[in-house]
Amino acid sequence: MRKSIPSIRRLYGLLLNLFPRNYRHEYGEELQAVFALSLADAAKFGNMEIAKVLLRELVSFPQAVFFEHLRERRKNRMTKKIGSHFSETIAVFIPFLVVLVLFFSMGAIQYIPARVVEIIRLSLIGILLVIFAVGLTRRLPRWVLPFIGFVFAFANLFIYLFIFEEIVDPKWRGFSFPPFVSQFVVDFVQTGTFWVGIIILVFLFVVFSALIPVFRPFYQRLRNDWTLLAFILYGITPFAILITFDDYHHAGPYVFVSFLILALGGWLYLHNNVSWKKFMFLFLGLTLAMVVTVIGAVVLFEDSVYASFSTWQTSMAETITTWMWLAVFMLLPPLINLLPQPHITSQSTAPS
Amino acid sequence: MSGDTLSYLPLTEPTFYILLSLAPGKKHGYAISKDVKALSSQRVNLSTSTLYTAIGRLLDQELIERLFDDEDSGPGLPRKSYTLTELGKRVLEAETNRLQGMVNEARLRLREDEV
Repeated sequence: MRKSIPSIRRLYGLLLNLFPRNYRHEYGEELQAVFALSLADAAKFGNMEIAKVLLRELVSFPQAVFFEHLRERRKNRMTKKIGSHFSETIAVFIPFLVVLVLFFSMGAIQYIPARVVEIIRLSLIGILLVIFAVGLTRRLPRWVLPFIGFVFAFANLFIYLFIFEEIVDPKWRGFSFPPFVSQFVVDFVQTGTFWVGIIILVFLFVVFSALIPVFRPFYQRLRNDWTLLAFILYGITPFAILITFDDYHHAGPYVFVSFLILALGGWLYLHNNVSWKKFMFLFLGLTLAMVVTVIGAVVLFEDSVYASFSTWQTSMAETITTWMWLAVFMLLPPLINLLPQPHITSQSTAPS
Repeated sequence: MSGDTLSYLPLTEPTFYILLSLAPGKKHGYAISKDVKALSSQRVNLSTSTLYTAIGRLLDQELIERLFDDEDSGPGLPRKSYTLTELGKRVLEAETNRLQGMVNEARLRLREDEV
């Protein structure tokens, strides 16, 4: 049998053609070298050992060929995943698109009959509910996450109106900052009172996803990929842009450019696998979109309703502080990720 | 056990031994195969194709990485070797802790039975 080793090696070389071409190209040389070394080692212990090596190879070879073809197909499907990425990207930005439509329809309300406006509003609410319901039934896929952030922003508005303004604010009405505190800090804190509900909502959302069995896989995903939480918070930005331009005229182009930047940031997020890169794209998207919003708020200030009782500097400061709060929210997921993860010890894995 | 390693566990026995074989440093395919056999007291004897299927999967999962040796590796030896990535090290450690936990628990129960 030892004499036939060169022939066996040649036969093995031929059989490697059964593997996918890429696999052969990547591992063919190594497979042949390792097989040759296995045979050479076995030959030192006699024919029986050579037979064992051949038998082992013979048994596992078809399985390996089948598995590699399967893996090749899966890889091809993943690289050709542009279609599904595209649909995911489209799905992600439907909520953003909805906001855009909502924004423009609000601007044109005076020219549209009231009944039509009502129909548009109901349709928009219907679309939002459908997206949300589909996202829930699919156990919170990635494309629904910014939409959740957007819903949070709306919910936060109610928290602000009904909890802060009705309950908290009256108790603090007499409070004023000491004179040495700069106006910018005052603005920052005041803007924060509007956005603070977001933290409560996100906290509740994470807790519920951990507690409700059907959403626990999502909680696990959240633990494994903290950028998902940042992607949820990214969905607040369209709402922030919307309320910034509330009562501004001709803000359409600024809103459009801001949304385009947000869409680009989201697209880059979806097409990347490295956590910090994904986060950076979201953070850059948020920042650049808000830069455009700040510019818009300043440029259009004279034509807005705020011009009669405020200054463009105040308007700019408010928009910058809004960005700062959104940036703080976005920075929370990576900071939480830096905290030590709970270690599962033998005691905790053991049944009680 | 960090969150990013949980999804890899539990490891199959050959995977565990391959990672363990690479723990001290880089190795060529054949050296891995021989080491796995030795580590498992001759129990896990990987064929060439099974070894490279596992290696391919571990490369995809970024638990190991391939190195291209500049120097001559020796007659008949492939010029490519493999080493653990940081993630691979963490996964190996997490699996070791998991197995350790199981062993500890089993020993505790067995002792309880004796008492």
